[in-house]
Amino acid sequence: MTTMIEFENVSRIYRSGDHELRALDNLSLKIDKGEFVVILGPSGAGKSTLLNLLGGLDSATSGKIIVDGQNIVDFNDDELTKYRAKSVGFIFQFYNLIPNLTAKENVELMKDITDVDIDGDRILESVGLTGHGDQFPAQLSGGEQQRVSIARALAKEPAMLLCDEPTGALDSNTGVLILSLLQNMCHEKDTTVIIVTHNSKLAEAADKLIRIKNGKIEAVTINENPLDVNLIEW
Amino acid sequence: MKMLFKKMLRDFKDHKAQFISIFLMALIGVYAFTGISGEAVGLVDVSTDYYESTNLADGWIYGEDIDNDIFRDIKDMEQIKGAQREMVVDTVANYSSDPEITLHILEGKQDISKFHLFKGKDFDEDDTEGIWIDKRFADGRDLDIGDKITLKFDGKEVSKTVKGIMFSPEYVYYIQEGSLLPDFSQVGYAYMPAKGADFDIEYNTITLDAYEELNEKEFKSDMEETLGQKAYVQFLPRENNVGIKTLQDEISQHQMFSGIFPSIFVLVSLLTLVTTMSRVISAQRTQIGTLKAMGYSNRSIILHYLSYGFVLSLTGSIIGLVLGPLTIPYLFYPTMSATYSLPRWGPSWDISFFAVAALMVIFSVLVSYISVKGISDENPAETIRPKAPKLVSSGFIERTKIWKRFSFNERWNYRDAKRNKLRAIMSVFGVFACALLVMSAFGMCDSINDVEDWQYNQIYNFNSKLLLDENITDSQLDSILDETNGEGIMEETIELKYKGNKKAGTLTVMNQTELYRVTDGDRNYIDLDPDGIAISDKMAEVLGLKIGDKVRWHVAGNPKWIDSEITETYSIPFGQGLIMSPKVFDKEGGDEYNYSTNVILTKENIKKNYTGVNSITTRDDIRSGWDVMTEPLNMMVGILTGFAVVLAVVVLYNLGLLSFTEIQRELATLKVLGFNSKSLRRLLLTQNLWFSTIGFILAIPGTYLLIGVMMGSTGDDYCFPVNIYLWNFIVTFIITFGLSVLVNLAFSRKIKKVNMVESLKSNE
Repeated sequence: MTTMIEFENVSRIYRSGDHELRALDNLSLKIDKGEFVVILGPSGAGKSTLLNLLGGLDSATSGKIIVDGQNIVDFNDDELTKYRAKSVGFIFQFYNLIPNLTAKENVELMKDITDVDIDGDRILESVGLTGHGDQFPAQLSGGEQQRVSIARALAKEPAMLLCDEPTGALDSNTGVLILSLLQNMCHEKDTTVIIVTHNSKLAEAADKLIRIKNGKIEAVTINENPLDVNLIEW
Repeated sequence: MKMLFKKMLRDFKDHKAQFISIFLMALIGVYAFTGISGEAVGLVDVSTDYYESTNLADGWIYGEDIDNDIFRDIKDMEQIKGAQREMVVDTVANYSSDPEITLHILEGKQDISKFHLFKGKDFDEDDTEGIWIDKRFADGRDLDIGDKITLKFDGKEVSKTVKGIMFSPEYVYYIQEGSLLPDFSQVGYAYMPAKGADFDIEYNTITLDAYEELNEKEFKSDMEETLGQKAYVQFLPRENNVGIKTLQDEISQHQMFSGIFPSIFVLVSLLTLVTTMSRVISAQRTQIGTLKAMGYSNRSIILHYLSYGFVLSLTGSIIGLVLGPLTIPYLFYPTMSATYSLPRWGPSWDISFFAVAALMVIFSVLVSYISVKGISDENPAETIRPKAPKLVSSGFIERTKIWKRFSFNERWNYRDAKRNKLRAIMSVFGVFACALLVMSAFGMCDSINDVEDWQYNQIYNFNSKLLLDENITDSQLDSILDETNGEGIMEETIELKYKGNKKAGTLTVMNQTELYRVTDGDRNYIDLDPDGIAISDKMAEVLGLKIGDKVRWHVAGNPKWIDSEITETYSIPFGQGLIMSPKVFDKEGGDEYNYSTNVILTKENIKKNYTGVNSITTRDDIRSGWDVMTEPLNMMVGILTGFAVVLAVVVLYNLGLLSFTEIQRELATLKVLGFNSKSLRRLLLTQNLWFSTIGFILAIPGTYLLIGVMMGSTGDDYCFPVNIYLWNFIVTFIITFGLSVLVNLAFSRKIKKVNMVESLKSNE
């Protein structure tokens, strides 16, 4: 396994007036290519901050974030945009589909920013949404919407999928479907999947489990035999 | 309630741009309306007040040697409350370049058409040494109380001391002969008591004060009946006095402008204000739900949100109401006073201004009410959640093949417009109104310049026009014609009549000449038939006659009516009337009328003064006079363009802001997905450009319509066709689209600042 992502003494400090909040405090970690990573921690631990920094949505106050050999902390706005467009697939808690566009159009939207040839129908099929392509987000259920969102993220064939509480707005059955979909993608396509959640049950399915508290790594566990998501008792 | 007030102030602070634009919309709408109307209303008020306070004559009777007998008969007529007798003569004052002064030698006290005293003492019938001169001439020649002035006429001389400087309501507009624009050092008027005259007075004017407005037709026949064969006199009702009529026409034109254009401003601001207000409140949906859930009553919530619209629109309207008339009208006064003479210039407030201000406030409160009521009537459990997005089904276009070719950008914008129809319509309307105003303003200028070119470059091909003295001898005439290489013609003021329609006009009697060539309606030269009688098409239209009909006409000052059959028509911007050859004139006129040259036209630029020539006007004089005369119009065009631009910026920015706020989350998501700021800006720009295009295209027919109405309002004496040049479209296009792009650029910083992390949070 090769190291794909490396955080070296990363801090993210929010300042407002005299007040200082250390969302990430001198944090270091490594993630390998193709790993299914679960980041666990209570609210306010810094999980989302970590994900945002990795996704290029936010900039670190200090430290290095090396992705495929490049320090993205040094990136300017344009480079970050390119990085997001090429390397990162985001899955949001609230799906964030473009309400004006149909499911298929939401997926094919990616044509505008990547050179990848995208067949919306095929990708929707791969997430189990055959026949829903012409529906608008508002006409789909939450689980279906999240699958469109995954399809959209996968469409550009990113190196990593970053998922911020992807099942947070879904019932548990639907949640399992989504997580299983993500796990399969990870193993079949060798895509690195990083899921931020506060649901500790998911720990058993992770290749690597990272626990965060107060902006620091509490523990990193490597599962030699991760469970299939479908086999976990929810 | 105190907390809610705090909330309001914070909301104002947090959503500055939107609230400022609500405030600005109310302000601009009311400001433009009251400013432009305030000028017109002010003119009406000032002139009406001037006419009333000076007891301006209701009419005049002109005749030669009006003796006591005639005067008494007139005075005894039942419609007449009072009458005053005057001898009015054209004199020349003892200053360089012989200024023309109209001298009124007044019998008795001055009760009618009293002057507005500026300085000195009031008119005094017993002051045999005194003379009263007009303020403009006094300024033009630097005269003051106590100065001596000598006026000469018909071999007589009047030498008097200036006792007062004044304005007379009979002289709101007056010019020296043969020019378009007054030069107040060259033209003026004066009053002196009859007792001060050391020569025999032959009264030629009666100034009438009537109980009611005098009906021209009725009064004329009454007068003719009263006087019988005693005298041949003419009656002129107040509204036909050239000066008063010219000012009245000018005022009407201003009223026309101030009626149409500012109403468009008010409409646009009102609609934008209303849209913004309702959006602002919809955006507060969850807060309204939360307030309700906490236990606030519907009433206090509604009141809270009503106060938003109320406070903003009220302050905006009040400021506009006060500021409008205090600023805009003053831009017009310098150019207006170059042409017209009023004792003062000032704006007025009309009741309609308050109505417009009230309209702004009422509408914004009403819309706030409807929006809040809709939300607060819902179950708070629903309200605390964001409104479910509107479902859109695929429409016709989406099912066609073209749709497949649309890029994401086009699809997104198409659907966004479809989902937000009101906003789309408002944007189109905003651009439409802006383009319409700019294009119409320019179009007015174009059309007027066009008319100038038509009249002074195409029809008039002479450089000097010499008005001849009545007593010029044939040999003098011949030598001037010879020396100037000129062409003699005859011009008379005539009265035309057809089936009860009556109209004053110009009669031009001339042979075919290169110096004065009329055209058809499309501005192609036409040769008039030397044996025919031609009427200008505007005159034919006003009288309601066509080729083959017989028109009745007589020359002013000669009561003999002639019937002539019209054989053809021509087009001319100014000076509607008849054209015929001397041969035809002599034939038609019979014994009463004989051709005699009274005007010489020549290609040459004549500077020298000939004996037998009263005045010389060069084409350059006329053109520069024309420029000054059209100055108020250009001013109006400038003001309108300025407002249109401001309006368009505010409307576009405002609507852009609304849509930006609504799609901020989508933008954040797109940014996360890897779209760069530039393509997001293009996303917003696409919509702006679409709306601008539609608005612009709609504005083109609108402009033709609007200018048609405006040019039609210039009166029966002018034929002003609508003419819009290509450059106008191009400039308007550049302005409209430039503004669209500019407003879009204003959002680029905002797009850069869109916080991507926000998109990960719940959809609020």
